Amino acid sequence: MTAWTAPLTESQIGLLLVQRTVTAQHLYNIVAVAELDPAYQASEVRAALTQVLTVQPALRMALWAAPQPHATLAPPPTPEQLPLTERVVGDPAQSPAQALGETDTTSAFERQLRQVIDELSAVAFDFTRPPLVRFALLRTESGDRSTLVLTVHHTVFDGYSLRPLLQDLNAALRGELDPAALRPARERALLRELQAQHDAAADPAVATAAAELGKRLRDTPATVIHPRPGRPVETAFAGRRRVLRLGAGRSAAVDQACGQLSITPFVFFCAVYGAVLARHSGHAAVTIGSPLLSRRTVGSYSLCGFFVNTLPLVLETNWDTPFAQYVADVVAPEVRSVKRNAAVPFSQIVRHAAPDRSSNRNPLFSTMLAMQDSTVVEQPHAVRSVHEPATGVAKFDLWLGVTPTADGWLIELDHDPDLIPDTVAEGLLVSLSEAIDRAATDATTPLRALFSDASLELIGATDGYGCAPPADDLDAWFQRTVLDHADRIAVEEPGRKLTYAELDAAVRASAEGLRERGVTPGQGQSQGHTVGLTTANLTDTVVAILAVLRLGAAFLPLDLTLPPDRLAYMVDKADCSLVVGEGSVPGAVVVAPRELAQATTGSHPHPHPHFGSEGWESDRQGGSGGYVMFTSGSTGKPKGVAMGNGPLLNLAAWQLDAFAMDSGTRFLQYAPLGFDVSFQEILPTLLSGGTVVSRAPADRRDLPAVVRRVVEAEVTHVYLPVAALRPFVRAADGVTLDRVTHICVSGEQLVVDQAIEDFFTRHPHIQLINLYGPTETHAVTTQRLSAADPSWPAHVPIGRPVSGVTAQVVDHTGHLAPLGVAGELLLGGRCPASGYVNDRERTDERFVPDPYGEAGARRYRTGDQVLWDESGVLVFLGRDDHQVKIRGFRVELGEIESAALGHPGVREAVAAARGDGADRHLLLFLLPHTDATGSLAQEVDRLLGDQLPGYMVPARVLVVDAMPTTGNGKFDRPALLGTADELIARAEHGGHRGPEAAPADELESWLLQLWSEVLGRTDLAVDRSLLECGAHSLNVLTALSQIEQRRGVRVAVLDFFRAPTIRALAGLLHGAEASS
Amino acid sequence: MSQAAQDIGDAVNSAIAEFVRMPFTSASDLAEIGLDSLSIIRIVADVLPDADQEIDAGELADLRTVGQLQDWLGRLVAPGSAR
Repeated sequence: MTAWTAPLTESQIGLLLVQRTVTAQHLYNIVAVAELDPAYQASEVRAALTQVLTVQPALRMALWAAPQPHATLAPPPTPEQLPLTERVVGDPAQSPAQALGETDTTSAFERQLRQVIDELSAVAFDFTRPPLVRFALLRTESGDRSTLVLTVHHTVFDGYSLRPLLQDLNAALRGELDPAALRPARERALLRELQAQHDAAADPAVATAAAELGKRLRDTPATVIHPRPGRPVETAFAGRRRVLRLGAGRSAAVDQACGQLSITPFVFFCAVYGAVLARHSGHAAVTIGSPLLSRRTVGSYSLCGFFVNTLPLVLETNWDTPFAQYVADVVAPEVRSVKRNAAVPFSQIVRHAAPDRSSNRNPLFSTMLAMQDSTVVEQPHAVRSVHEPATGVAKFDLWLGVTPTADGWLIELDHDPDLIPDTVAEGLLVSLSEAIDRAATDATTPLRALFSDASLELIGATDGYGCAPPADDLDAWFQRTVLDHADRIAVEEPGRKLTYAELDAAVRASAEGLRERGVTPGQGQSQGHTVGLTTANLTDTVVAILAVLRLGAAFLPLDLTLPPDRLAYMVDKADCSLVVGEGSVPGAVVVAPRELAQATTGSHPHPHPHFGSEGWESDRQGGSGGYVMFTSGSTGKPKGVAMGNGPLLNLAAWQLDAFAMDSGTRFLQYAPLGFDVSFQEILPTLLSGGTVVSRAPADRRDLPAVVRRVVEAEVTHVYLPVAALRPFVRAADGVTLDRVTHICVSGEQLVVDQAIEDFFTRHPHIQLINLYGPTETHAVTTQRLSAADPSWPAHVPIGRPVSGVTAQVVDHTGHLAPLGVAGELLLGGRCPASGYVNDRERTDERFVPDPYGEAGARRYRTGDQVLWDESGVLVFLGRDDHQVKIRGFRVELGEIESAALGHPGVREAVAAARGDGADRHLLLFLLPHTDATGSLAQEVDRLLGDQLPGYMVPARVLVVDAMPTTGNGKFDRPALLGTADELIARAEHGGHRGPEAAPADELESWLLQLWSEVLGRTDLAVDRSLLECGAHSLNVLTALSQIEQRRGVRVAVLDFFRAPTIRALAGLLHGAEASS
Repeated sequence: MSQAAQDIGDAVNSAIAEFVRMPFTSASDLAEIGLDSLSIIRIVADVLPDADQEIDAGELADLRTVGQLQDWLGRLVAPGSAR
């Protein structure tokens, strides 16, 4: 016979590439366990398997990557050469197992079997040294059990191959196989099939279909289960399996539903799995990979081989659609369409989908569904049963195997625990189980109702801190503190100290002054009067706050650096006509603190600071008094949050315990008054008998000066915006902060770096507390870290709820989310504010009834996307709307856009944020009207500066020729941001790209020539991405093989994909050659 | 109905009968009588005599009824029988 050689299929080449990409060489081993009729002796099994290898040429194939990918055949082995190991498991009487207390041969056998499975699963095949299969035969000594384990590499074997393999084995054991006659026919059939596969892959219709599939994948977000920040991009591919046996009753319901819906079980399980993945990934559209038989010739159905294309199913879920309609309109057509494309190779789709190739994960899908329908064995035969055992390997993040068995449907869920921890996988299995049953029982069930609330037990879980407040409102509590600590220092700033007694006297005087000016307490739900504050120093500020609270009214911090129009809007919206402090505020009377206190001194003396005595204090309703703080609003106007006494009391009581505050506490007052953090610095300190220490003389932005102030004033508690933490620890380099016990941060996502971790390692007595909370609820969750923690997460969780606060994560189905599932955070219990001042509509939209709380309870919809991690800790993911944080300030992009649209020359305006941490800044993109002037950007910049606070004014205003939009018609912010640098360069220089770089040395010249040949192009440049020039997995394999042949250096595929340029490749080669 | 078509119809029916334990007609829905794509492939492989015959598994996706399967196989066999 002439030398047999055949082209490889694209699927085979793809696996060769994977093999060069991953370190887990056993990743694509297929392992099967077959129970044999024990009457056949080991020698008979060996002879039969030898015959099987003779008539199954694929099992004798060698695969070569160069010069072009191709396959050759090795001759059949002799029985002695057959890679089969035989083991006999002894009877209990003689078994070593008995010495270990093993009393049962079955368990000793199972243990041996497990060991053999583990050994065979881990075999690393060399593709050039066939056969790519290993067998092990386990028999009991008594001869009552005979089990065959085989491992075979996927490049020569697909799921279907089990059928012909076992058919041949049965025939061989019966003595009915004729190897001499079958061998040439089968070798010819394999050649014919491989050629047919090769020809089919070159069909232009296949290329067209691949392009369409690729585009669809590009337009569909990746289906990521447990989308936690810092999710590993590479894993060791370890796998764990969870098993669900539906049993007879539930399986019958599934089969009945399939019959009624006229669908195959594959469509049914696809539909249910799709809905489960949509819930758990948080995306309505999900991508599921599924292996499809792509065999072409009739003869191939008798052959082992790898004739499968794994194709993506994209399913779009609408939660209100009944299951039956979703099946009929979405799933069944998609399955039909994908099956029609069974000839499209995976690698061609990858080329068009242009996914991120910098990971060792599968580039197209993270989740799989496989119908394991080749393990049904017809009886009676020598092979009595077969199954594919768990091998401790996970090729995908999540893999669902569905197997028909005599006892009903067997559901197996394999997951990679590095990506999907056990508790998260357990939640997936629960969702899957309940969705299968509900869909099978009632196909009219809307998709959302296939699921239930999952994290009920986490409602009400807290961080474990908190104490009962000794009074029922803040001022009453403060007055008790005054009695206990009259002579201690309450407020300290340079050149001025106030004892609690002095502070209380000043508060009384100011409160009297306010009352004389008509300030009255709130009644019940009503807020009472609102008093603006523009006080210039800490003492005046603290006195004014406490005076307002004593009257049961609300204070409104006003920042005089804000544009006058904005200040006017704020005081008008909040019905604020009186301001205590400095400067002037349009629409309000400003009274100086001294004037306020003088007006009452002597006329209404209150010598004893005693709560509840006669006089106006008894007018005040317990529990009234709070503040109004404005935050950015998407409609172009800021929103005033009316925070009541109850939430603040709860927060203060928690904080005293959580921050270990007492009369020794010296809390730095760092935050601007307009930030709710200022409340946490001032009030709880004054309730604990501690001292509020001013930041002055340090400027807020001068962190070295702040650190000096912390040291000199012996501060114990520091509360910083997240963005200031890094500059703070840098400024503290070389300084030891002996007295500080707590550093708190909030305002945006805390990302810890080495410098921060080092600081806390040097200061093991300091706890870092990360707090989260929107203005509408105040601080509601915390996570603490200290040097004692073994490892610090880079993306620090927001932690667990403060006592008295309930946190609910509501996923897209409208149910409480399982662990690891993204959803909107809703906050209930004692934390929600009263609402937005004089804005019923927006209050009702965000403050909604809480079905999990007591009657009449409300919860606040944060609009923040979070998830419960595997241990029930909240992790912040981001926002799904257009709210961003700039230096800790909350900014609605819509507010900036709305202001820009106020310029007549602006047709469209889109704001976007870019950069991280302190570098984060705003950009504004403008599409001008045709009649706009050339200086539009400057004009809009000036306009925004006049109307918006400084932190909302974009760093750059950029004029664009067109506004890109996404598929669903929204402005494409990522696309705009992608063009920003070029626009900035154009604005600054009107610049062009520089000339292409030339090869720097001989190696680069050679690589340039090699790639030019491989890609058939002459316009390559050494620093341009080869992926943009047509490089893809197949020709990369060819090129890297040629490089290996010529230079003797094997370049890791991932290293290439991470920097796919000729220059980077030359660097890799130089590096490797230098080190060898 | 031609003899060839009659023959293929009979061959398909007897092949189906090996997989299906319920009565069916040419109007029967393949999924409803419990035939998944793998069973259909095996029926096709049973019915078609020529190992080199190529079938486009993609086309199978559009077959919904026993009758459509019979027609489709008939078309595949016809050129072969004319040879």
